[in-house]
Amino acid sequence: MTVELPLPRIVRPSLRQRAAAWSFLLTSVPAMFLLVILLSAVFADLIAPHDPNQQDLANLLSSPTWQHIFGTDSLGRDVFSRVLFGGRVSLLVGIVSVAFAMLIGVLLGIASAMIGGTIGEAIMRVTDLSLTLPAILIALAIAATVGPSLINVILIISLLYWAQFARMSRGEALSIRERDYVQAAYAIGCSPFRILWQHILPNLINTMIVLGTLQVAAAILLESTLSFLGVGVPPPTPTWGIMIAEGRPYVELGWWSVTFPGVAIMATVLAVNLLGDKLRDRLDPKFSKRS
Amino acid sequence: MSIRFIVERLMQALFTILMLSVIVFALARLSGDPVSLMAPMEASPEDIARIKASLGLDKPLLVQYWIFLTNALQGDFGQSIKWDRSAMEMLIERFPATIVLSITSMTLGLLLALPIGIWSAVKRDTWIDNFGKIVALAGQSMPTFWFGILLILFFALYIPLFPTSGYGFDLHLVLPTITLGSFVAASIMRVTRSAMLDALETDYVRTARSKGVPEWRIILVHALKNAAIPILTITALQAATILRGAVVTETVFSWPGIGKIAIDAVYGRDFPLVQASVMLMGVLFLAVNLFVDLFYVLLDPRISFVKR
Repeated sequence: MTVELPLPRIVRPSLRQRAAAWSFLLTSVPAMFLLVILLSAVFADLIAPHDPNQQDLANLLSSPTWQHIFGTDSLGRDVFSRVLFGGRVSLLVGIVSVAFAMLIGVLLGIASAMIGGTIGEAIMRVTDLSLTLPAILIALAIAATVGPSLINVILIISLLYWAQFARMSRGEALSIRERDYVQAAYAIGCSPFRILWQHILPNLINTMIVLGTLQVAAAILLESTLSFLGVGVPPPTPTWGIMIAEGRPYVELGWWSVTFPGVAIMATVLAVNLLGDKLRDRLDPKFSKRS
Repeated sequence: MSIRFIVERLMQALFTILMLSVIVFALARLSGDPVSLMAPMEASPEDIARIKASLGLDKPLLVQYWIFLTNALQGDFGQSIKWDRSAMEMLIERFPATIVLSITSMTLGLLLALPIGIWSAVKRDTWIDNFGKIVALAGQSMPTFWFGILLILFFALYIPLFPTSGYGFDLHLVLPTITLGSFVAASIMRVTRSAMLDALETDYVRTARSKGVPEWRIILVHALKNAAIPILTITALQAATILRGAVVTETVFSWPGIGKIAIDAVYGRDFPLVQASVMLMGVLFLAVNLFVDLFYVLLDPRISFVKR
């Protein structure tokens, strides 16, 4: 029998301090940024200097000025106000669709683990199947079929994302079930519901929070892609994806109408991803693959 | 590798394709009456009934599905409503464009991802590493279509080096390749880094160091060889996801591949063409995934999927 002892890595103290500083920066900056985005989306009515759908035909494609800090688009609408309102759709779709997906996925995953047998197997087969489907094409086909609307976008994204949660929660539930304290709870006659509620769910939460955060980032990207392709939330509701699609023909005359919504998408998704990575290191050590 | 494993995976893939065909079939039927799209405005009820009968839409759903499936297996998805040509033929015609773009993008992605990923792992926790990590994460967080438009703005409009869009195996390829290439590079870079980190901490690397093997040889031969499996896996998986990026990239650059045709078909509610392209891309996606699984077992004798 061999025992492997990891050799301690020798790190210069200055390097360690620098790593700690980086780590702090990479957590606090995205967290602050997301808070700002969230607040500005919620209070867009109060903050936005202009009505996001107010056209100003005398002021088409005006470059950034003090009056329109992000400029105006091809219909003279204020880009800054539209970016603020666009955040509503992205965050709403990202959070609600992932919440739905998590609810369905965790329920099915735990059900599959607890029930077992043929039904459990069947649930897992369907899960594996939906993981192999080409997501964006299915999304496009569904969107083209049922027609674009806010609810449909949310439903499509949840429909595409639940499987990850199901697979993960099933695996976790199976391993938690085998732990001594859960076995002990069985032995003293706790009801399955109590075991589920008291022992399994609390131990699942960390993993689900981590996966959920990373999925929100993916969902925001998918929402903007669907919007860009014209099968997301329909106009006149401003969304970041639609703003880019609408600005695209005039990009040479007004870079601002494409650039700012894109920066908004990227910064938001990046911030969520950075936080997700941090959460993973913190909450779920076995997940941490030093990525 | 056991025969049983191969058969099991093949059956699984076939089952998935079958389910995909049900979804694709159901979507087209849910979308409302295809006849109303095809029939002229002034068509009488008898005309509509005749068109319905000629399309087999008067039969029970199950029979319709059976006909759809048997035809689909022979590559027949019917005529495109808009172009009045065989949908499958149109896709096959456009296929080379997508394949060429995928290959150039994958090559560029690897050329970017491997050196940066390896360098990042070697210089772990330095500013190089942190920079690499942020670039990779930023790449994963960036909307592909937006990046494509910015490239057009800078390198086709402001500095007219490349054409804004269109098809050709010359300068036309450059901007779409950069767009799609950076889309795949980010994930490969992250996996390369973490696989190299693992490999650099192993005993054989320590042994090689103590023997005085030059550092470049340790990194490029000893470590990289052993980090190869995860890197190859993610590369192959990215080859499958490249189809996703292709839909968007082809749209932005008007690149006439199967992604563009699929989007156009969705806009035009050209359902035979939508069905054909979703099925074709689904089957391609599954085939690549299946190949990765089999390849994986071949590469690493330690892995066996037989008893999970």
